[in-house]
Amino acid sequence: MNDALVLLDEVHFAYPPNRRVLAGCSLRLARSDRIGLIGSNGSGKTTLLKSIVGLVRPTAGRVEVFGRPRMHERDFQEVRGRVGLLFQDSDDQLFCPTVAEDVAFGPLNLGQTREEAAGIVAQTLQSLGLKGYEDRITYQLSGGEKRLVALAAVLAMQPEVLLLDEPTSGLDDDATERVVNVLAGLPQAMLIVSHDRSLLQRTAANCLRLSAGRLQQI
Amino acid sequence: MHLHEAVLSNSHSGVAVLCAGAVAAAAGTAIGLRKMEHEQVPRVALVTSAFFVVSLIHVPLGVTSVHLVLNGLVGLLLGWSAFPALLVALLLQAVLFGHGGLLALGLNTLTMAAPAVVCHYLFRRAVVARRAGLASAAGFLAGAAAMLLGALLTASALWIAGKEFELLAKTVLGLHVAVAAVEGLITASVVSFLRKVRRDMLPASAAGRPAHARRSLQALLFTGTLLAVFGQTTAASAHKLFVFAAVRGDVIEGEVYYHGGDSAGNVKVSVFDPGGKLLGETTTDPEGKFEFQPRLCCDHRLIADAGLGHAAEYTVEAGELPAALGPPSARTPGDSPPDSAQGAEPLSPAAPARHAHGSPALANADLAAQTEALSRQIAALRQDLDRWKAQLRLQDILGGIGYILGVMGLIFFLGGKRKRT
Amino acid sequence: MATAPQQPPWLGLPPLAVRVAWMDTLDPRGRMAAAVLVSAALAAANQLLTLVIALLTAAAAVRLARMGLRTAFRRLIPVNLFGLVLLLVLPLSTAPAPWFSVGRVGYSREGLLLALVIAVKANAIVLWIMALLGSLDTVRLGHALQHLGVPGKLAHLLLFTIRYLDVLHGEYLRLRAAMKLRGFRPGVNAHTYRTYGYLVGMLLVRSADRSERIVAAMKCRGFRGRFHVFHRFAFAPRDVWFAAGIFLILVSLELLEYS
Repeated sequence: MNDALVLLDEVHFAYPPNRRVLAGCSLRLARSDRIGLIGSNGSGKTTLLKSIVGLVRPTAGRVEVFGRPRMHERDFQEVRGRVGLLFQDSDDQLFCPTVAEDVAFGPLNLGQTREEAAGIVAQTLQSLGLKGYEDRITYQLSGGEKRLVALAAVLAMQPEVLLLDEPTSGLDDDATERVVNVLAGLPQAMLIVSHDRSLLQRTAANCLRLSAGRLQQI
Repeated sequence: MHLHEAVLSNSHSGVAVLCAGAVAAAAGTAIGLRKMEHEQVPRVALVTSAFFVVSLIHVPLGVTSVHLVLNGLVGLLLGWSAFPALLVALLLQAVLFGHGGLLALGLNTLTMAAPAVVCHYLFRRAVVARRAGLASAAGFLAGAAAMLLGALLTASALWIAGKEFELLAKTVLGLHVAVAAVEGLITASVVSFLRKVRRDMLPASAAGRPAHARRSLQALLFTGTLLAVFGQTTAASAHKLFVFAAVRGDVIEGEVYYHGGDSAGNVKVSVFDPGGKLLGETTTDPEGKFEFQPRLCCDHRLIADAGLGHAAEYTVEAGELPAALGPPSARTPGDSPPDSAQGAEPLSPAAPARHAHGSPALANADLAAQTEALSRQIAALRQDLDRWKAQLRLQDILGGIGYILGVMGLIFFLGGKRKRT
Repeated sequence: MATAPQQPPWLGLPPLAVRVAWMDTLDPRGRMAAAVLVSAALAAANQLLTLVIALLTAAAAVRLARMGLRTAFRRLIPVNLFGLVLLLVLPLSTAPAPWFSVGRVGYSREGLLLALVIAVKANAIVLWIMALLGSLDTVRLGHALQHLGVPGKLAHLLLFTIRYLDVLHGEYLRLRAAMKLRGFRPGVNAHTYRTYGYLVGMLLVRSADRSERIVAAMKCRGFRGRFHVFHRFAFAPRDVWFAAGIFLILVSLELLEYS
């Protein structure tokens, strides 16, 4: 039973002063699972993802990642390199001026040398079809390109789990197609939040619905 | 108000102002960076970015429009981090728009950020007060005061740089008064907006009375020192006028100049006797030199008036004057007999005539020549001494910089001591 | 490596350099250093002749950097507006022997000369900076400063600010458009000032929100309080030629000044 990469057990969370968002969520993500997460706006899907990487702490319940309970900031520091979170708004994620710097940010923080990081950057960009984007300026990229670069930046840390918050929102059909193809070809375990049914059909094996603070199978 | 270094680099005092401004701004930026945790860099950067965008907004004012500065608001939100934030914003404005120059960056940062920090400590409590009216009033005052202080600093910089900028300094000050009102109104509006929408952006209520009071005092002390040294280093008496005169032959020759050595041309020099009666007037040539022919043997009071309230005085004593002049005043032992040794130049064509009284003419002429030469040398020495006293020297600037660094070190030391206990 | 200048129509400004100019192949650190040195050298020059020649070389430099002279002159407008003020005010405040008078007000020759010197100097400096740095996109400017000894936190503050200028400008434009669509017309009244206050407040709130999300994103990628520098520069032979050229120009100007 302990081969679950991520385990949420009756997690509760409320934003101050009294906005209850999660009211007893339980979730299990194993090594090759691909789970889709749907729910109406404001239902707490992003909060759920944040609780897995320690950006918010549950008011009750247990969070276990990679087999160990995580409660304090130092517990989560180890998690963050191995669990990648793709934000809904790519502008929040691409905070470095050039693509290369942004993709290298993670590896450099993990202790790689500059040369090693440069190698990872080249490799990651190539695998996402972004060869030659190293010196491009992040704020000049199109919506789809930003999303892919943000994904590259997350993948550069070689995570074992991917948490994706609305990966195709705001993208046109071509960009959506590119992202979907990329995701379909990745080996990681994934938790995908999305409104896009077709995306979930192609990438997720099963789906959960978050409503009234609880998760239900669909 | 962005000054370009072209305005200030024409005189030594102007360059001194630029340097002193740069040093003071560097000190403030160092403090601001130290207080900024690495994690706070994004927040400060985003606020800086927002203010840069805001500075593009033009608000109508009468027939013209003025662009927003809002340095008071920057100060309220960022505290000491206002220094690095405004430095970055001004750098971008200089490089992208040509507002202000690269060398004037330090001075411009100082004139905008120092008032921001002052307003932070003055109004941070009031803007989070319970009564909305008080908060809005504090917001208005913060906005207006920051603008006025900034204008004051800019005007002072101009004033110190040279007498020719005095009128410009007053104009700058005047122009900013109207703008200050607009800034105050908009700042008040922003404060009330933030109170409703995101109160945590405004400075949290201070740790406790004593800590708050001490830190405010520290900050005010430091800013006050910065400004005082800034003023002193760049020769606060920059416009002091000096006049010096000595007797050569039978004329009074003199020179009028400003502190720092610049000569004062076209200045009116009036000569009065001890009783206050006007003996005559003359004007200095473009190099500041003038001559006056004395006709009476009495103390001559020379008053040089350069306009705009600059005046200087020097008295040529009767004893220095050639003795054979008008009603003699009390003879001092050092006086030579009236009919000889008039200090006339040996080469003067009238000399032989004056020596016609039968005294041993040659010996007296010799003595006269020597006295003349001696008095010339003494006059030159005294003039050099006077000028030397009035010069702005590198030591002054270095001393001022030393003051700033010393006070900074003291504050850091005290701050560090507090952390350790 | 020659890349096209990547400064798009930005903040309402038309791009300065359209074609790839040789200036862009130079190391930005060299360009930045040159800009400071040229500013200092010109600031030290006070003879009108030297300054006029400096102004002509500046115009030549702008052309050499393939910049549109017309857009360059448009950028000179703010400097010259101040110069106009100087021209009107400075001559009034110097010595009481006026050159000519308008009514009771006397204008002195020294004042006019000073105003002229300042105006020419300011124009020369701004033009030179435009020639040297105008086509440098802000990102490379930030990198150059990072490598020129600017302290780490300050350099990153600059880079972050630059990164989000465009984003915030976009938000500002959207807010402005929304205001206009609801009939807002600026005037000298309380409603205008209050509205501008709300506009500024909204921008600040959004920027604060965004900064929190950025910190979260940084933490998610292992940020632990230290920023690492990734970008590298390398000097090329053409940078040495450039430095020599600038040095030559500056020495000639100073010789002219002091002869």
